[in-house]
Amino acid sequence: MRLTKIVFFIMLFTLIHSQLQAEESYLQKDYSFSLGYNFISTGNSSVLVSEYASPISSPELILNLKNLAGHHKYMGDLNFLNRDDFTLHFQYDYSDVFRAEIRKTDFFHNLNHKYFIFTTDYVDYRADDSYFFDINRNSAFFKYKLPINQPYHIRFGAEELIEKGSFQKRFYGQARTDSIVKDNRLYSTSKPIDLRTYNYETSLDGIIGGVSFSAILEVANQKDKKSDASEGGNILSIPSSTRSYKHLSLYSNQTGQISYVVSFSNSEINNNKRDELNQKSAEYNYNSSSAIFTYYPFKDLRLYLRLKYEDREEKSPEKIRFLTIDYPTFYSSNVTSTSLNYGLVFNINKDFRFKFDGKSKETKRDGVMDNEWLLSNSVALEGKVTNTKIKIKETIENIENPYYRGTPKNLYKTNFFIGQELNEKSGIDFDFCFSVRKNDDQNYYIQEHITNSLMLTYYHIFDNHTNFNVYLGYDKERYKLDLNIFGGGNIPNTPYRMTKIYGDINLSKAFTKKSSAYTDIFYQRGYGNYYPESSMKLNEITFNDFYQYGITLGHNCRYTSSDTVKLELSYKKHTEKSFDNLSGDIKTIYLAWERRW
Amino acid sequence: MFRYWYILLILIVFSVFGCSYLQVSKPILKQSELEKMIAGRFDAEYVGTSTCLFKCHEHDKLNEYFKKSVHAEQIAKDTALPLVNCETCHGPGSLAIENIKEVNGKKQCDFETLINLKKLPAGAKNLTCLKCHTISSTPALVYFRGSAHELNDVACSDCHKLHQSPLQKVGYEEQANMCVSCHKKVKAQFTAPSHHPVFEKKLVCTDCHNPHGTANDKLIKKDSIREACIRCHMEKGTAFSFPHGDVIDDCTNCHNPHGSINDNLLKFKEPTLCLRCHKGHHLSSALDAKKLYNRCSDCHSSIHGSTNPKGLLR
Repeated sequence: MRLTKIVFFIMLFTLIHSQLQAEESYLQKDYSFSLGYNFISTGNSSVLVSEYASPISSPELILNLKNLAGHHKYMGDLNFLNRDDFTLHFQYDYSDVFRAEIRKTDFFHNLNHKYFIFTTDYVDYRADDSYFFDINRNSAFFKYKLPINQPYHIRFGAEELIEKGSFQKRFYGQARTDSIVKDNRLYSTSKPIDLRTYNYETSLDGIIGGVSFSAILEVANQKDKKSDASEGGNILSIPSSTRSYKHLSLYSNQTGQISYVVSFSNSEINNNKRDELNQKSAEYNYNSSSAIFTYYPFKDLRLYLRLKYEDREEKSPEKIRFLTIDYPTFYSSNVTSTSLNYGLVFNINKDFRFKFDGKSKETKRDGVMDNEWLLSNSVALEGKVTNTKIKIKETIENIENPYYRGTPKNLYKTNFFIGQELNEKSGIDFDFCFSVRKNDDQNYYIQEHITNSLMLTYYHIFDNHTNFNVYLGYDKERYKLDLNIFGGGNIPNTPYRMTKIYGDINLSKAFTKKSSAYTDIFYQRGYGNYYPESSMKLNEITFNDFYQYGITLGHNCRYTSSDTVKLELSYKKHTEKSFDNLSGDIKTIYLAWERRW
Repeated sequence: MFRYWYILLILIVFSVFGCSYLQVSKPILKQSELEKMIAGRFDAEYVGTSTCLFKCHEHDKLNEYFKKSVHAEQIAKDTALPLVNCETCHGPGSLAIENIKEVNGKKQCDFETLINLKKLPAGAKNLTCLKCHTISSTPALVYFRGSAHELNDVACSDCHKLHQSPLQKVGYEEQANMCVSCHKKVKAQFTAPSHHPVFEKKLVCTDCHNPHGTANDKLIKKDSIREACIRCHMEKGTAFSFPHGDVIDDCTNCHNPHGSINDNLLKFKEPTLCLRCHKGHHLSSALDAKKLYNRCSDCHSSIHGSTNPKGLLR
């Protein structure tokens, strides 16, 4: 809370300072203050209907301050929605030479309580608990520009991310060593958490001898205070970690025919949980180098080439000790990949352009004989005929020896977009995507994956005071999987489907200069499962069906040149038809008075 | 550990000499002459912002915005940066103010003699900005050339509305709505029951993406998707003695970061998600099919990785 107080007082100072600097200006009305009350009522679970809403009614305060006159510029805002949900931001700038920015964001994340289904052989120690994280994200950023001929910038940033609360820990009881679990059952319990992540970043950029450079150094660490305090080394605890990141990029002028960027990065993560046998911890190391060339030989042709090399290694002590027994680990896994991305954009005439994009990527993994090889090519034609925009893109991709059994070998994809301006006040867009992924190899579980996605948007400005926007969408994914289940060999071509339908209608109208209203209605439905005829016993388990709808109505009334009253009513409902009982609704009434000066 | 250190060395040497050569600007004309050429009038001269405003006060509001913006700060000599005023972008203004007319009660200069930025293609508009932002170090634009936005003819001014207020950067609050005005499908993804809190204004698009360009697909910040995710979710991407295979590669193998109809941003509901890559368990008399083929993460709780010998079970 100390940071909150400091920033609040800085904002107060800004307001007073700004008032003292009163001058005739177009920017004089840059301060606003809004006080209101937000009534919230929830029914059943609010997890899926409003994932980030804190379910408490509360006074609401919004404050915006801006003083952009002179060399000293201040900007601040406070959005207090309730004790779990507020943001505070303050920025100071001196002549574009020095900039400081502080931001505090608090919000609430509702988490699911999942119940065990299709089995009675379980113990839920906290069957009535509801789970959530209270997340605080605090950051500070400073930038200084050295006032020399070709200035250098020095930046420093720090960020604190705190996740407090509890989540559901579900586990199989076989190996649990404490007293509460003794048998082979499923268990669920509440896991308190106070996870703190600190990121510090410093960077320097400038131009030395004609070479522009940017160097970044970042260090971070993460610790779960609850794990340390209450469970000290318990196998359910979250291990603390440290991370470092180094980056250097060198680049050329970007206005010439040729431009060039080369960059190098290294990232290391250490899991701080040391094994008692060898006093070592697991490590992750990542190196990346990239080079990008662009060559624009004449105004209608642009060529580019991107080369990237990545090397990832996850290392662990060869054996680790657990309850006096030494167990072998995965020890080391190393993945290296080299990719080459190349392409061109050619302007056929002033309205049409042709694009080609190709990618080749080879991935090598330790212990795997055949390297994975990806080759992807796409061509696109984009253009405009009078008031109609058209875009067609075709992509063909082939992967040799995919490492994961869920990766299909071949892809064919079509994107089609058409946007029509019907007149000066209305327009319609149609966006369609179709893709087919296929495998011809029985070693891979996904045999076929077909996606259809389309979206229709329409806008209309009825007069200069009424806006109407609508979008409708439909996404469908169909799979044929070789399911290897029950130990009985493959069940080939088991179909699976997943569908999402969604839509939104938005209407806003300014009745007079002082009075306006708006409304928004949305609906979405998602459903999917294995086809009943071939899914055997999995059908019920994979069943997923929900729908969600919501409506918002709002009215703003400005009764003096500075004062406005706002009223907003909203209702949102989530209905879950599958076995997880996560249906719920949320109703809010928001009433506020705002003053601007 | 870097296996191919010699490639690194060659790249550094090449970069230093290459960039040094390319950094030197080799314009076909002096900047002032170039602007006259774009405007199509070589007889125009630079007159200064105050002369323009003295003749016609229609742009006083814009000038007020400009004077309070960071661009106006560049005029101060101690910043040692290029002069930025109205004519820096709009070209020499002497001809425009020669014949000022009154149209509908408003003064109007002969703007046809200025550079018509609205009619210029995106690449030319961008050069107007880059002529300064590449001479001075602008690390945000390292990867701009050849980036998705640049290749799709997105102009700087499509996002940076320089005349709407003194603020030249895109604000935290307005960012999400601005991005989805083009990326409409992404807006629909964020309405899914499980999503990142972008429209709740707790995160912004630039937390994960750099719209000015990166070395990665999808304008992902950092060097890979995993590196971008672990900035906040380090506990899921830390080093493990028993890591889940996918985690070392790419979090998007299992998650849809914008939003999903499934829990925890998952691409599929369990157990379908897992059965795409893994064989299912053999049935035994003690455990029935529905218990084994339920949510895999009920037993495999530490699905991202673990440091204890029961592996992903914990």
